[in-house]
Amino acid sequence: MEPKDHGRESHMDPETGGPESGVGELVRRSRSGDREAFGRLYERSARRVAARIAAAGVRGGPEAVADLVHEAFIKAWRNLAGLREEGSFGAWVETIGANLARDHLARDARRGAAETARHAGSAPPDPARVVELADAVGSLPEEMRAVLELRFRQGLGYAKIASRLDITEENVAVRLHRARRRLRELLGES
Amino acid sequence: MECPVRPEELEAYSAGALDHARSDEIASHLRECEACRAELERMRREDDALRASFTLPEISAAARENLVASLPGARAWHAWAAAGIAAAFILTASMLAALLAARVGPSPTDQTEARLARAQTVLDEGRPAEAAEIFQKVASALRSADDPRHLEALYGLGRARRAEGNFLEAWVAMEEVATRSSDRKLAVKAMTAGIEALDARLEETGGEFERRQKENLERKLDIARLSG
Repeated sequence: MEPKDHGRESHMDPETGGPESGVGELVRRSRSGDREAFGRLYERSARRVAARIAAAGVRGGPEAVADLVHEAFIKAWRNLAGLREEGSFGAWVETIGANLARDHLARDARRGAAETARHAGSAPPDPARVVELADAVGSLPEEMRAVLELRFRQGLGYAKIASRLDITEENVAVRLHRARRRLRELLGES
Repeated sequence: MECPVRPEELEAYSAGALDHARSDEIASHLRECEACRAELERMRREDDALRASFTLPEISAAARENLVASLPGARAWHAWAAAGIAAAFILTASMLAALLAARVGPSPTDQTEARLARAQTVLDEGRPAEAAEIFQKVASALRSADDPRHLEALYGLGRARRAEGNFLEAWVAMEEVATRSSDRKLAVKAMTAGIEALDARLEETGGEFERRQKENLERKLDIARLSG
């Protein structure tokens, strides 16, 4: 699961696989008040915006990330007039999402919850890899997915995972390692 | 030379799950072994990415509809100006009306109750995905505010997931309510619903994992009933 260069394929059209086509048109229609056109833009970009927010280390689970994604698109709608290159809507709304995530983390820090969901000092993961990883996890066998869910979704320690799954802590490590190896294989990074 | 640290041990070391003695040995080994240091660093980057991937929300049709419905009106600048003047009149009139009626807006408690009731209505109307989304948002907001009612919302989420046919998610929600609730009645309801979800899941998969989880929940339920 080593970083790849996703820069070139960041904003491809999911239907055609080519550069985003029709985005400019959807932006123009949205500017004139076409909500359905903006809904289409949401369909195309929301997952990447969510990945960017999640990668920043926002706490509070999928619900907190979903709220920030919603906020990012409302902000984008209000500021559509300020978008110079209509074709770069995806990158633009991702940046709005990243800024909202940064503000959210700063608010948490002021309230004393300074930690992010990342290892100290580490750079945020690449949002494209976060999306790939989510898809890969979805294709894992149940046993592997369950141990990953308890560890990374619920944030449980080895002792609690062992108790939930009725296995030893050593087995927790073994299962997590097998799942990690499988994910590396699925992403072609073994 | 073969490395004395097995990959599973490095996994446990990274999670802080080893005993002190073995942890110290591995820390000492890491100072000497560049390959293990690189592997540990790689694992930690992967952990961050995995954690992020598990917080990705579902980008559902309901979320899209919710967004489109909540978009503020789009107008040209002169229309905004006209609307601004109109809004100022309306605001003044509303403030006067509020003062005359000596009333305040709904309290956060009322709002929470209203949102929970709305989610329940949506669920009763046979739209579990939409209901799940509302329950999830309410649970998240209440959890951030340290409000114990987030477990009630989570219980609703579990029911909505079950109605959707997503039995694994239903169990995850019910398990959390059963584990964390100090309200015995709610915990018992969650355990019962969790067992039902696992039963349904067992019918789908016949998996060992579900069978063990069901036995665990049944034990907990027996204890809860005895202690009640």
